[in-house]
Amino acid sequence: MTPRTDEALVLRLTDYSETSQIVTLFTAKSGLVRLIAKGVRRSTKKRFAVGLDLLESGEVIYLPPRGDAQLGTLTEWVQRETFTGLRRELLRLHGALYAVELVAGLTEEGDPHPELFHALADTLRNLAGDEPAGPCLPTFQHDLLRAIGYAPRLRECVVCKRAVIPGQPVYFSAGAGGLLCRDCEPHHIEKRRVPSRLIETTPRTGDPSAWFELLDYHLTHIAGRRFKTAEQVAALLVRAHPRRR
Amino acid sequence: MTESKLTGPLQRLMDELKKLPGIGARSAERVAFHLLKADREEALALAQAIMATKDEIRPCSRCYNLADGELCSICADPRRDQGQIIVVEQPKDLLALEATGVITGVYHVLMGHIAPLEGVEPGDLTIDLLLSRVKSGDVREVILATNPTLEGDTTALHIISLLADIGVTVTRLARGIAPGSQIEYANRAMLEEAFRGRRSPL
Ligand SMILES: [Zn+2]
Ligand SMILES: [Zn+2]
Repeated sequence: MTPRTDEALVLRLTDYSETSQIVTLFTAKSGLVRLIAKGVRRSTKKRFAVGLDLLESGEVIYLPPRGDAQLGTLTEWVQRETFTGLRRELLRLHGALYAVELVAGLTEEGDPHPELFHALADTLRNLAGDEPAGPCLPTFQHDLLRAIGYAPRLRECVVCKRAVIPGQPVYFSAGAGGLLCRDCEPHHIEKRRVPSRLIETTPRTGDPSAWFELLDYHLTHIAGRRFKTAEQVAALLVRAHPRRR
Repeated sequence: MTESKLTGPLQRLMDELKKLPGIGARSAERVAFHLLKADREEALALAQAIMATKDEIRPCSRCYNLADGELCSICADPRRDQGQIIVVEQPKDLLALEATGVITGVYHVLMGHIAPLEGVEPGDLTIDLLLSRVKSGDVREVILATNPTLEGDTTALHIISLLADIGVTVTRLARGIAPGSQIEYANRAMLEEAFRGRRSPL
């Protein structure tokens, strides 16, 4: 089996034995990849100078899983970016973990998403940088939804296709895949009210906390379970961007 | 390697030994035969040490270090500075720091680190106990000695945010290039930290 070389972000690390870990990477060319990293935890060898850490990027060389094996083997890791700026603020840190949880939960192994790889790397870079953290999160949620083919319709009613009229009550249904107007809304059970002022904005420019909650509602519905980091991020976002009622 | 089944108790002993970290089938066999040949007292001393460890060791009621009484030997030592608390993730980290011989303060063992993706939350650690120690005692300084990993840093940041209102000095261990290593092989994060944490030469 020939080794593969790729760019990757570290999404998850689980201890496997005293000296080895299972590493979940999101790679640019092959999407999610799960590898065993032998001798990584206490290694002083140059190969894994200080072990791997969550939320860092690097260049990976690995052997893909052979036959029925579930795991490939990590042979080399060269750290590239560590996004150290994430570690100075809880919102940046938990926001980054949320982004990673979405990718690990909503993409499949061996399902390449190069555009999502770059969106995730950009999000980590932005969260680690000096710009406000809030808008990065709904922006990434929306990018991810688009990448996995679940971008919600946010301009017109998903059922009757009429444009949403400013000032009128609007609903959002995850199952229907977007907004529902006042006439179509009664036929749907799964739905939530959306402030009509919100949908005049975009996830990138609107109230970060309100957009986060709406898109997280959609993502939760798609995944069929709640994300572990969502509650904490929602609380930190409300603190950082108090709602205008 | 012998695959033949040995008689009951000896096989059981080997099976148990094999579960220990770093012990494979060959070592398990060697240890088992050693114990078989050894004096009764010598062999039973091992069994008793294991039993005493399981029965008598418990967390220190103040700092969660391993203790064989109400308080661990460090908390019970009147020469230790109770005004300085070094916060570590686990007892093994405490042992490593203690071995340096430079620490005069006392410790607080968190019993893990916050790992949001693994479902480990602040409430699963001993953070509440740390806060009440800081609030109730004459604590001047809290030194965060969590691992310099993402999860260790998450834990430290969380504790910093909780201590911010209390008015205690909070510091963190310095980090950077390890003595004995070479700059050429250090990764970016280590060099960045080392540069930021530079200090006067004396
Ligand atoms: Zn409609
Ligand atoms: Zn103690």
